[in-house]
Amino acid sequence: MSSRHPDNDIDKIFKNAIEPVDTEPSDKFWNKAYDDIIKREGQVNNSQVHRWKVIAYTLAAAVVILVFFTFYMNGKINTIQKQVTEVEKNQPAPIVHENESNNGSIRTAINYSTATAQLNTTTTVNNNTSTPAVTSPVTNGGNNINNFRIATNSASSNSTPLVSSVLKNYSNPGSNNTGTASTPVNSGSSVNQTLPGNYYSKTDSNSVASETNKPVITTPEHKDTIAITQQTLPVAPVKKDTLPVLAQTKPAGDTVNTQMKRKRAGHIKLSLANLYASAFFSPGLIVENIKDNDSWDNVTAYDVKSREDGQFNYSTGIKIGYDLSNHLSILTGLYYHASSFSIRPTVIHAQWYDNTPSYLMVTSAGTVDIPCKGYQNIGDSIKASATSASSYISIPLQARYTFNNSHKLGLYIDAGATANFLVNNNVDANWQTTSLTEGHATIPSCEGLQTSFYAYNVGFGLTYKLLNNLSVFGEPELSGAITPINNSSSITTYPYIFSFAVGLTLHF
Amino acid sequence: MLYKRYAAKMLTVCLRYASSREEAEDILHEGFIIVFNKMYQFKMEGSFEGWIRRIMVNKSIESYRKQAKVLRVVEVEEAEDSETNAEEILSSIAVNDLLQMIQELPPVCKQVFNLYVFEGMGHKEIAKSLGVAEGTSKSNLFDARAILKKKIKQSMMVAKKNNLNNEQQAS
Repeated sequence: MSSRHPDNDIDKIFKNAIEPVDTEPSDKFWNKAYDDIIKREGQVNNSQVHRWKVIAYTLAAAVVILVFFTFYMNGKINTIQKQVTEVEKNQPAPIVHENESNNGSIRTAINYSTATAQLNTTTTVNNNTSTPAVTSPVTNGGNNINNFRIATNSASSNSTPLVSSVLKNYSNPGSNNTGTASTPVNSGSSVNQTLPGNYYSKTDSNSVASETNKPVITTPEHKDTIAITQQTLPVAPVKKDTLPVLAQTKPAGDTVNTQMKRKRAGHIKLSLANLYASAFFSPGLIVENIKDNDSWDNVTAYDVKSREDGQFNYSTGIKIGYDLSNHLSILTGLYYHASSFSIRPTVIHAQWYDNTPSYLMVTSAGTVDIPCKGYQNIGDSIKASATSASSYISIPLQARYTFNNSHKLGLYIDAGATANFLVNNNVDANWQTTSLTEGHATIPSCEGLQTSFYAYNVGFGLTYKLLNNLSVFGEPELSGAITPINNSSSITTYPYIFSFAVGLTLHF
Repeated sequence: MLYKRYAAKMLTVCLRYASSREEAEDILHEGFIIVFNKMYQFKMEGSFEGWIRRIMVNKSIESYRKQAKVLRVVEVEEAEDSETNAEEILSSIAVNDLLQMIQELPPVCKQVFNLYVFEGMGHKEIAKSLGVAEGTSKSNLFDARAILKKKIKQSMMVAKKNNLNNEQQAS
């Protein structure tokens, strides 16, 4: 059977003969392929490991900085406390109640020592005292009664002692020391008494001066308050109060021991008491700051901006802060940030990319290679729209200045920087070809999108104390990228985020 | 797995476009890299093999485009039409020889012939893909056929001579 074969015959001969044939690659090819697979697997693993390493290191660094400041400040405060204690120990400061009249004075000095927690009193009587005086009734507060009454009465006489004795009634429930001490006092002499237990002096306005040589006057105990004060007797003209007062008022039922415990506990509390943690949710608005690169595809920043619509974005997470002083604190934490935007339908032409004709959609979050198959000849076009979503883990380091820490309503400003790490990115793309064929794909990565970027942030906030250690806050904040989130060949993107955080803060 | 399943088939595709086995294997390797990189783009609707094949063809065209600047134009002699049939050709010429004939075609002719015959593309499409005029595509296809016919004729003549020699030696 012989026939002239037209052109299509020779085509068929070749097609039918060659197409079914398989050609086994050489060993060289297999070796190359194997090496490539190993290399690529290693690269994928390395990039993932690298990303998590960077996150872990940044977090660790932030925690180390926080811990360092905690210990540094705690150490400083401890040193100051020790110095104060030593000063108190070595040089006990007396409180002197000085009551002077025209002709004489009664002086009572109360030495309060933190080391011994004892009350020392000295009463000096001048023989020219003309006015009876009663000073320094002492209580230990609450139901624990410690009475210490010093009563003096002096007559106008220059030769005879005006105060004959000092009677002290005291009781100390801690040591069961109770009793009365009576000491005769001569003019110009002084009486020094040390009473066991812990005491504060308290002015007793109800004290009544006794007559000459009737030295004992007792007055009602002061069970409700403890204080060291000074006061002159109502019966005597007062010239001046000389020495400062060690303490003013303390809560009812408090003792010196309790105060000491509190004071010492402060050393331990300081590190924890200065810590606080906040949980927040912060919806925001992204404004893209897009800069043009040397564009190979004639896509400009304006084109990208004009076809993108911002969608919902938010941050949520925890902040941990440490008060360095009444006003200044530093913060770190861990945030999760998610953002998305949509791209309006855009005509895209196929162009060479990665050795294949591709439909490339340039977005503010990277270049998307739209997998429209079958229409990938150079010059073809499709109309495509997309939604891009990305999420980041952020680690901040901020400084905060609080204006009125002690009030119920507080105001603060803060500023700092965050390290942001990309954890997820995908683009949902829809397209239509010129022959009205429609397609859809979810593309898991964008060319040019950076795996991490750094940003600054500034904000101010209002806090309202709900409880002693719990407050609610609201904080408008501006965050701007320092390094680009996208650095594709045609554009570079530095977003700004305006957000409003609301949350709760717990002080430890 | 992917390599083992498709490498042999795709190498044949690449061999048609390449001028040597080494070049074909390079194209195959780079093609597989693209396959892995763009795996997510494949929609499960079509043939996966067809998708890979398309990548290999595109990769081959890309390779051709890189070389196109240094390739010389080859003048093609007119081939005489000869009377023969497909069975006779296939019985006397090995498939590998046919493949080699395609490989030995001038580059532009080879690309056009492959795209037209094996990929089923029209001249308009071929012209777009290769960046040439549509008329150039047509003339290159004509030239490719002419060259192949000539080669087939030569091969068959050699085959006939060999057969005669063998018969004479046998008798």
